[in-house]
Amino acid sequence: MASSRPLLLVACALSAWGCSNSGAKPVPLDRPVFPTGLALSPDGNRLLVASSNFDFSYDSGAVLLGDVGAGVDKLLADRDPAAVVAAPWLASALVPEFADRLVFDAAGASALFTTRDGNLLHEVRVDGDTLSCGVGVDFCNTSPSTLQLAGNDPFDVLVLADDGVILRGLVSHLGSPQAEIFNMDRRREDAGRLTIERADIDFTRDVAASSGVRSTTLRPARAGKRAAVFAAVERRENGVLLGVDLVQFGVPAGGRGGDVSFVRQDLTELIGPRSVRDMAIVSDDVGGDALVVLLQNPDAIVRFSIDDADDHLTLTAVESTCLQPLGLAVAPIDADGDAATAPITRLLVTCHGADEVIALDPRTLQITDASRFFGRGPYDVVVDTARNVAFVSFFLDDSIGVFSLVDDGEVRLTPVGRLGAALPPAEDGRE
Amino acid sequence: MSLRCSGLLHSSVRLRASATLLASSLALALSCSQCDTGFDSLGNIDRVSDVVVVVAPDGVSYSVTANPDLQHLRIVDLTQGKFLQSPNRFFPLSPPSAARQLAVAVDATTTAADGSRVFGLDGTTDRVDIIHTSDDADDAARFGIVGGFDVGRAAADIAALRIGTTTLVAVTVPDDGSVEIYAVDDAHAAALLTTVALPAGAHPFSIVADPLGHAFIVGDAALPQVHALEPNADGSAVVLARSLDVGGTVGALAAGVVDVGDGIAPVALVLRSDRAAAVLVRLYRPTYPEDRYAVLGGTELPKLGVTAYVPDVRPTAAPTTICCEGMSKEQIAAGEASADYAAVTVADGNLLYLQLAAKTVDGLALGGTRRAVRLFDDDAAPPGPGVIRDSSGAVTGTIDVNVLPELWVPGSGGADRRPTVTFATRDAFGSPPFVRLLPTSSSVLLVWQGDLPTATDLAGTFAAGTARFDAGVDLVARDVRVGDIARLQTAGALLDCPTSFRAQILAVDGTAIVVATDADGGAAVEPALSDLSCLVGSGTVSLTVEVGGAWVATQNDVFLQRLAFAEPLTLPGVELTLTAAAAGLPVSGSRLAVPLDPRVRPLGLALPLLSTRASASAMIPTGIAGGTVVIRDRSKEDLDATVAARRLVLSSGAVDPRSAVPLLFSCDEAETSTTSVDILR
Repeated sequence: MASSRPLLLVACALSAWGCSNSGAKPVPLDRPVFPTGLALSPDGNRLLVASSNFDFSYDSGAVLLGDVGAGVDKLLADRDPAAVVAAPWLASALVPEFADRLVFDAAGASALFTTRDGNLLHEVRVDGDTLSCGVGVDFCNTSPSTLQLAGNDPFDVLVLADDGVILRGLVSHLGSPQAEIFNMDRRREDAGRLTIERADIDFTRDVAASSGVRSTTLRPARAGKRAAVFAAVERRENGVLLGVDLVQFGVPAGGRGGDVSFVRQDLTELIGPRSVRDMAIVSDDVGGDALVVLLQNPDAIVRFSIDDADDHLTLTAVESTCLQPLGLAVAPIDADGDAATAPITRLLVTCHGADEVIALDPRTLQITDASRFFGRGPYDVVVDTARNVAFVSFFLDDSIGVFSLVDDGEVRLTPVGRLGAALPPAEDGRE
Repeated sequence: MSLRCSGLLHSSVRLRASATLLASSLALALSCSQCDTGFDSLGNIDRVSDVVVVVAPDGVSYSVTANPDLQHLRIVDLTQGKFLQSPNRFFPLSPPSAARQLAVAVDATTTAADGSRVFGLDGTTDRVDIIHTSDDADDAARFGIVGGFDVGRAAADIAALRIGTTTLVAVTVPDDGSVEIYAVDDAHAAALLTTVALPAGAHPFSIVADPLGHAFIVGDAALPQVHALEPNADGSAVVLARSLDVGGTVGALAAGVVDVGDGIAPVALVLRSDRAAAVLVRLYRPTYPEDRYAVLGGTELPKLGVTAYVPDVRPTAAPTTICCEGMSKEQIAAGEASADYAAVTVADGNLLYLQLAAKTVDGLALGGTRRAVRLFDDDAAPPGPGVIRDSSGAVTGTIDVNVLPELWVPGSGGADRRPTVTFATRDAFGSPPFVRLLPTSSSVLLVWQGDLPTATDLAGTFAAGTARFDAGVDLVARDVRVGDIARLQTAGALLDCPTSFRAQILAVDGTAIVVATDADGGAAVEPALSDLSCLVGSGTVSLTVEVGGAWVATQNDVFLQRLAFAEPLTLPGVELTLTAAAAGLPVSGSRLAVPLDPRVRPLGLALPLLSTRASASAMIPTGIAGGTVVIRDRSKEDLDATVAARRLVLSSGAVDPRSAVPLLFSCDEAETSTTSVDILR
């Protein structure tokens, strides 16, 4: 595996040179292009948007840094769905195509993401109103803030631990059954800033047919237990999906990725063959933690309770969803503004094929709110719990929708405007 | 003629129909195809979220489906076996309602529900629509929306109960922990009658009306209870009468009337949401001197139960259904067939039938008035050792777990210490009986002095320089015992220590253990920790416990218990005991696998097989409804001939357009053959 890296690096460098230096059609930096992943800074004032350049119309993709402070406050005050924060974008960084899941570090100073173009892991640094991949870097495809990955089609990035100096994370791949553990040393400004640990997490170790990881999520450490990772590992044969396993493992010590022991549960055996899209951990004051999994073909959402003693998963709810569920977020909502009362938790789901965003009761998976046709192709969703607001990337509209989660003291899902540009008229004339 | 022909074209032809009928049907279809363009509408249903069956005042039986994504209802004329059409035959009738949950009012004065109206709840807009089912005196169009009213935020489910001239409509409001009761008159005017607060912490979810009209039964998604809300005689007030413990949180509910062993009774079948299990609750019977509500029993299910249906066995125009079609003659002769059944769809889309008042479980007579809830089982044998099956699934032999060499993996030098396994069948169902189910293709793995799964890799700390390790979790609850071995791994600031220790546990005190050291006296408590000095600092230590003098028993990677010799391991329907070999105790780490077979052949419907995909597709059951309806009498050549029959309608929630997985099914109650299921598209 290691021997292939130089070749990949050369290929990547050539590819990136072509993208960044052709000058044919620079990607717009005043709006996202086929936006995918979103990440909200811990203070809730900065939003990162992955501009995927899905159709290769431009020379590269980009990551945009948006100001979602005062502008969004005004949207929340005015509550006019047609309102637009016209120019929220403060800064941008050019990146290869197909950036997707973005994740901030705890301080909000860096965000990590992968690009499937080039199989790269990236760090972008956020400093006030600026965004960069390092000093003097115009295009984010070289070190110190870019790391060549061994596996194909990197997708999810998890932060496993962060002590403020060293950030340790996990990258999983849609097209590879090995997840890679990386370290980001903030003290370094050379090739040692982002490094891969020698031992990866190899899902073929116990099931040879493991072919790729659709989604991962982290269960934080708790009394007596280290943090654990849940991964949705697909099994394929000649490209045909045979099934999906939910695999969990404790976060390994440094360099010990090869020693992890897997607890594997066949999701297909429980509910039939279908494909995972996203996962999230929901903490429940009564029932303990639960794992919620979003599925397609057929479209569904399922809930597993997690046994705190042995981490065993028990299926506790199954419900259908709207068409092509894609993004999932957990939203603890303080509707009454009283910190003494428990928040009401909702799951937010984007349904790409139905132009719909729905909210669900995490215990029953019943739909409690639905917003349809506010934008086309909803993709990712992130939640600002301090202001009870959700942001949704609309893949086909090049815009970001803003939803209020509280309306007149009640938990709701109400579109209140968008970032970037007004929605173009629907092609079918729908009002 | 044209309409009749088109109806025939789109009604499913059941394979078991007589050859005569089949031939005549084909002939008519052929003639119809010559005179008709054949462009009749399909149902165009999508992601059906609920289904109800009504017999409208005009005597026609309908199935109403909720399609919230389409924001319209679709209606099947069950008598004709086709979707209603409007404004012409190119379009399905589409009442504009985004309802997700549907209800028909129970009428306490008859065995039939009030078929004049359907109530549809849309919990996203907090609205109930009232749908009129027939075009009668008030000039409302058939299946027109004739009224509606607003309800509480994010209501989850709806049920209705007719008392006199008032219909009480109840909706559960999980966020508020309450149930709202609305009084709806025959002019469709609605008013909030009362809001019933449930016990603190309640998260009301599902709701059904008692078929005898005495109560609403509410399933709780947070508390392990169902709540009974009883209206007074004239329906002017509703109060919380009882909260009944059903052992776990509740998903779906279904109500019906069956013979529970001492006469017929209204019952609610409770599908647990915390595990794959169903519980039967008897509801209030006015003439019986007994507790108003009682748990009669329960059973594990092979998969999580999603929707359920319980028939009403009170006499109607249709004969009572005996479950189940396809049962073997031997089991019928053994008394396995019964009219007191329930249908349950499970998470993978299959439908299973449950006995609700079984006198025996795997041949064990329960005795007295005890009755069990369990799967209908077409295999008379009790659970036991694994079996050998042929390609058809028939049992051809039994595995001898005391002989088969590959089941025993001894530790070094312990080959002659293979224990002996004995099986016994016991009535360990409890009272009320709860029937557990051995997983299919399961195996119990026994490891002598293996790692205790509940105390594996627990992070914790040593108090500086002591032998006391605190894991931060209750070790007593995790069954850590004195005499077990602590295996400790160190990292971080304890790098001066060896990376791992093994030491005997001398005491277990809440979250902490005390391990043996050399200072405790040495050999008597070996292994002992030799050097305490390195355990100074705040480095990370993790604890794994090896049990002392016992087996660790797991089943399909799930920990069962620690097991000493001669101590019984009670599994669902079978008890397993180990006897030590004459050569002595096993060597640590020795493993014995014991393959088991539940010997259950459940009766049900493999609905995913109806998928048109190459492989069986998953389905998401969302609704199941049934009862006595009027259908065309297929035994007669007269196409207008009808007959009363007990039927089921089942809905599935999601569809992959590429796979064309069907969404709506209709079949006889207790049907087990997929070839006899009508697919309604």
